Amino acid sequence: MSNYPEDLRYTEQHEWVRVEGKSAYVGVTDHAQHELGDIVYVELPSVNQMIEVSEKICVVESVKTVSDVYSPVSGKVITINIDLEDNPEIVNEDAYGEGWMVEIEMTNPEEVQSLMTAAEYKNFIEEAAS
Amino acid sequence: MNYVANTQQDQAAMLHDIGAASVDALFSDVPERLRLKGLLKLPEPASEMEVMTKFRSLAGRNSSLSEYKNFMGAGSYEHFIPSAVQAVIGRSDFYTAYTPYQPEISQGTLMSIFEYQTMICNLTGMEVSNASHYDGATAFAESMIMSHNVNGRREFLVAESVNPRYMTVLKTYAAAADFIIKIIPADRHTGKLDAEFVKTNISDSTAAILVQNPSYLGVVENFSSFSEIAHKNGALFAVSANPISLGLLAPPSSYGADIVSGEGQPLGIPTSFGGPNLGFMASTQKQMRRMPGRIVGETVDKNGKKAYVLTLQAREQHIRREKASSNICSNQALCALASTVYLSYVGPYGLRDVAARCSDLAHYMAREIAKVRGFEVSFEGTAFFHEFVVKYPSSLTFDRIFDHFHEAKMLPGVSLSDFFPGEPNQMLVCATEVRTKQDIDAYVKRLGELKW
Repeated sequence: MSNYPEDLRYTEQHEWVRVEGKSAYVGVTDHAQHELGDIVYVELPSVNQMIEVSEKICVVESVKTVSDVYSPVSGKVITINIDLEDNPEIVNEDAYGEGWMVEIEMTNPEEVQSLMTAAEYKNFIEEAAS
Repeated sequence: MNYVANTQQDQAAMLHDIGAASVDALFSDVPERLRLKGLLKLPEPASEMEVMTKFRSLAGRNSSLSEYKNFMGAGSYEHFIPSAVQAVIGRSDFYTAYTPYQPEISQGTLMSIFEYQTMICNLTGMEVSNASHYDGATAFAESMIMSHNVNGRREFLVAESVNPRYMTVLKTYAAAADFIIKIIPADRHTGKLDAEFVKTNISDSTAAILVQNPSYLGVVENFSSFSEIAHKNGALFAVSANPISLGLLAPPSSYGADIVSGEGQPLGIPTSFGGPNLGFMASTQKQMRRMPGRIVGETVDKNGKKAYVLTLQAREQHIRREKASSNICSNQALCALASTVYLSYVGPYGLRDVAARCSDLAHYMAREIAKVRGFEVSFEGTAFFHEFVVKYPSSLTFDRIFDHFHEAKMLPGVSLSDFFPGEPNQMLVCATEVRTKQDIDAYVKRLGELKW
């Protein structure tokens, strides 16, 4: 049911990262959006905000619950996905694409190496389910 | 209250149903040494008539406001309460119901809360109201926490002229949350807040400026410059307002408030020792997700008919636990209903009349008191609503003034000796629409009779 794109890295809190040069795009995984249910609000950080790895970066509110999104990398927030302010359901529809949340200019790109690969994340999900 | 019998047969039947051998067996988890041996030391049984007589004599030692001409305010105000209020809230549908745990099944309760929220928005000029808080003090403290939740900052500039009871609650919450409170001094001559202090003390650490308008000392100010300076520094501007005053005064939204809270007791709720009171709180659409408490929303059901729901619940503690916007997840439903009935009954023009009557009487009273030799009304030239500060000769004590009035079945006001320790000969005097010109003339005469 869930999918795990090969070009992304994943965290145990169900965030994904796509690295493009110095930039890391961050969002929540397809599994996460499915567990949350209909997302009604995404609270985004301020542009230029400095963020440490594992620090809270976004808040996602669904009809069922409110969850924090933790940054998988350290760096500076350079872009936020403004479209989510009016259309948070994009996260449900396209978690890995249009549903991205923030672009971070990484200060320590090495951090990405410690994140899970698609195969590892898939295992992680399946183990948790069994 | 109904008498519910509890016979030995009843007890035996209940024990049988739950499978317990005896009443004592129900307490088997309580260590033997902690259990009561023998009977409670109670008085001998009395007849119903004896009990009634005893309790009537105890109750008779209380004084009721209906026997007094009351000029006390200081946060709890005597207003006329139309009989419609008790008639509606006394319906057992409302009166006996606890907070609905399956809220959507209680459409009547939700509708009344929705209407309450609408009226609070109309009164304050704000966009979103929650379903209410316990009292004005806790609502005010919640506006401090909410400001922190909005901008993450921990420092607050709080008006000295906030009700001291509110200040105590504020400081209690602040201490637990590691917030820093800086007091904005109120000028001793004008009663107004020190705008220069705000300018020099506001910074990018300031979460919010918190004021009360009218202040504890009765003073009304235009706070536009305060909200401007707050917003320029990324801080919020929070106001605690007297709801009756809003029948006459510009709503806090018009001078830039981000959060408006207040004590709803003046809206159809009696002045009782210890409450219950009613806290209201309203804010902007932008900050609604940071607002504590529950919010009722209007929607349509699957057949397209109007229906009410609890909305934005995901922020509340029963879902979000330690990350909830507040520990408040209930509301003061019956008192909120009383205020809703009150506001519906008096209507916007009626509320304006009540407010104008309070203000007119208080201004007349202040002018007359100022004519009495030895007495002075503070903050001359500063606007006030229905309450003001009276300075009495320093050779008098408040207790003497109180006793002198009490003998004539009058309550002269509230002592400010704690508020102004350096100049304790001051008291807070209030006149609402339940007083008459004759009451005030009698008060002024009584004041003139004091020997000092």
